[in-house]
Amino acid sequence: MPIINIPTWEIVKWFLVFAELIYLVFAFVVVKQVRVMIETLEIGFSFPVRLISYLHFLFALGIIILSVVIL
Amino acid sequence: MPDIFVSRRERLGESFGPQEQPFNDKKEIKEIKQKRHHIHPDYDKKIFSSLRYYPHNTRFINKDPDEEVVLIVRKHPISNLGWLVPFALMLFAPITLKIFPIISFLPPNFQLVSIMIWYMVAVIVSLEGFLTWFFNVHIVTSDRLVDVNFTNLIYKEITEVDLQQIQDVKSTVGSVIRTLFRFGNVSIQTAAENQGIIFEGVPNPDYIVKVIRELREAGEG
Repeated sequence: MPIINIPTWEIVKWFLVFAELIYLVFAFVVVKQVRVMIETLEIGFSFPVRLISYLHFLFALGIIILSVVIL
Repeated sequence: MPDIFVSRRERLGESFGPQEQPFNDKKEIKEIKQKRHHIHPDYDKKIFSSLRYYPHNTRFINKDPDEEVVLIVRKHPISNLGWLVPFALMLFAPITLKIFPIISFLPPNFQLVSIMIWYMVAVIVSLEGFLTWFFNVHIVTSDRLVDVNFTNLIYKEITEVDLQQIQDVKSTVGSVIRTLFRFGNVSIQTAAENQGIIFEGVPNPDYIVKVIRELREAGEG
C-alpha cells in the first residue's frame, strides 16, 4: 500500500538501512575498543581478536550494501 | 659481640648491597625464569586459562621493565555461560522459522536481510561476551596488583595497588556451584584511601591468596 506515492516497503528499506548505518558506527567503536584492549594488555590472541572485530565491521558494511541492492 | 639481627641473605651466604652482581647473563635469567615456571607445574600457561602462573610473553600498560608478571587471573570459564547460552540459542533460532514462520509476512528479500541482521547481532553478543571475559583481568606482579576493568565499550578502569600497601587478603567461596567448580572471590584490603580490590569469581581463590601473601612477605624480607 503506497504512502504519498512511495511504496511502504521502500520506506521500511530506508529505515532499515539507517538502523544498519548506526550499527556500522557501533561496529567501528568495537574495532577501536579491541585496539585499546590490545594496547592495554598483551596477553596473546591479539591477532584473531583484531581480525574478528574487522570481520564484524565488514559484515555490518556488507549487510548495508546488500540491503541497498536487494531490498 | 654477635649480631642480634642476621638477614636471611647473610645467613644463606648471599652477597647484597653494592657488591651484589646483577644478572647480566641472559642465559642465567632464562634459567631462573624456567625454574620458577616449574614451581607449580599443575597450573597451565594456556592463553584461555583463567589462572596463569608466570605467563609467557605478557605485558600490560605502564609495566616496569624489571617487573615480573606472576599471575594473571580472570573469571572462571563457567561465567561465560551467560553469553554462550544466548549465543547458541540465537544461532539455532532461524532454523525454527520453518516450524514457526513468524517473519513469513515479510517479502523474501526482507526475510533474508532480517536473518543476516539476526546473525550479526549474535556475533556481537558473543564477541562482547568474550572480550569482557578475556580482557577483564587481575594481574599480580612482583611489585603490585593491577585490576584491569573494561566495563563497556568506552569505559576503561585500571586500579593499581602496591604489594606493600596490602593489609588483608581474604578468600570467599560461597554457593553450591562455586564450591562444585572451585571458584570464589578474593578481597584485598589496602592501606590506600580507595577501599581495595575484589577479584570476583576467580578460580582457586585460596591459591591466589597464598601467592599474594608470599609475594608480600618476599617484598618485606
